[in-house]
Amino acid sequence: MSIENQIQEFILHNLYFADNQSLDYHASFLETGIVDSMGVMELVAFIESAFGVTTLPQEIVVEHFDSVAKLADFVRRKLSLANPEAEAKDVPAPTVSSARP
Amino acid sequence: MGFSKSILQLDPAAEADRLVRSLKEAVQGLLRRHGAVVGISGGVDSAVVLCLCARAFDASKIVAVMMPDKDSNPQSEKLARDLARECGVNPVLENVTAALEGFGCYRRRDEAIRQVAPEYEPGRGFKAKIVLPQNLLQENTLNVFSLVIVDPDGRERSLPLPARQFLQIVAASNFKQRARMATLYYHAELHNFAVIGTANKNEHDQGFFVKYGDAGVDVTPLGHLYKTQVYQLAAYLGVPEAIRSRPPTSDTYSAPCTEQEFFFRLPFETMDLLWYAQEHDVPAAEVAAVMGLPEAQVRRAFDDFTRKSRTTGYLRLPPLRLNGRNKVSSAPFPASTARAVAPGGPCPKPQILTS
Repeated sequence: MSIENQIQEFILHNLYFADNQSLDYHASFLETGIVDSMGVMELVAFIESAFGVTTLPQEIVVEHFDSVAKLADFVRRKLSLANPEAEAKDVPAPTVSSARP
Repeated sequence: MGFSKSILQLDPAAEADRLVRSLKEAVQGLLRRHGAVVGISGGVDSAVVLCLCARAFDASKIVAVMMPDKDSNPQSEKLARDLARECGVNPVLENVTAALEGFGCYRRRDEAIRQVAPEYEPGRGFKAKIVLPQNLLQENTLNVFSLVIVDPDGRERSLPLPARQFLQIVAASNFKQRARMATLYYHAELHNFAVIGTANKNEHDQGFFVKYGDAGVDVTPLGHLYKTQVYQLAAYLGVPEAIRSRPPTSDTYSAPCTEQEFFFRLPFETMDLLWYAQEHDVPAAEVAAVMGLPEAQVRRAFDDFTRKSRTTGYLRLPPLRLNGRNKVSSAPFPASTARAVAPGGPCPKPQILTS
């Protein structure tokens, strides 16, 4: 499962309380209101737990936390910094979103 | 009128007169109560409300209640007491520490703090507060709180705050506002008076209040006024300089914590103008030119207002009646829920005295 897919699954199951909703990887959390500030705190906990990355307070910015795609890119960069060889094994970022199963 | 730095300038005399008339109409006419109960904190908002009440009602028809707890700054009580006396009102002291201990406010809050900062021991002089990033205009930081521990020597340490501990600290701390609300209603029911709230427009519309806590009032005379306009009224009404010059605080955390640190992230002089501009659809480029700010910074502030208003939308909603006539949507709150909620909903909202 790609990083995008894992993040999307987490949001759909824990933060986005609507049935039969899809979540585009590039949908802005700010513009859509899907994730609020409490949700950002939960996303921080999720990526630290799921991917083993550490998030610094100054990294919790719109550029990293405003869409599934941006957050996945952020995680990918953190992983590559922590372990440069692992980056090549990571699943490439998909370009098409998927609906909630 | 075009956007300018003086756009929020009031005619304070006219506004004060109008609010005094409206207070009388609301309390005696609409609510049919005999007088007013005001919680006074030593801050500028409650000072303005008490001064307005003193013009609207006989002093015998006003109960001004001071409600400190063991975390409160003693200076606040002194300022509140002095102001009440200047208004000719005998202040009532209701220390809510015992009530808060009964609720487990301090125990629950401190338990969560210690999970993040094991060295935190209030009994040894440690203090704590939670804050938002203060660089709103410079960086696209999000509204994620940090815990600040102040040791007995005054040294501060800032720590990331996990979601679970954040929720417990806030939930426990909110007992304070709810204990104060319950105390105010005791006095209101004792005298058949109405509770007059002290929230301003910033607090109400951006969600800086506790549902059924400090928002639990009958009338909210300042609910349409930006904080900088409250200061204009304060100066006109003769609120002492010692109160007007204090940094606004919610008087919630043991370490000194201003409203800017805790929630608003900008000085009120800047925030109010930017917020007015966003509410009135003034183009960001025009705002930037008037304010002398880069356009990107103006947009950052606009985004922050949108996020706060949306995130706190549920706080402003009355209880939802599931009677089949109201559409219950799972869609996120619109940018300004305050505007989206239809008037005359299932539960009357506090009256904003704007007309």
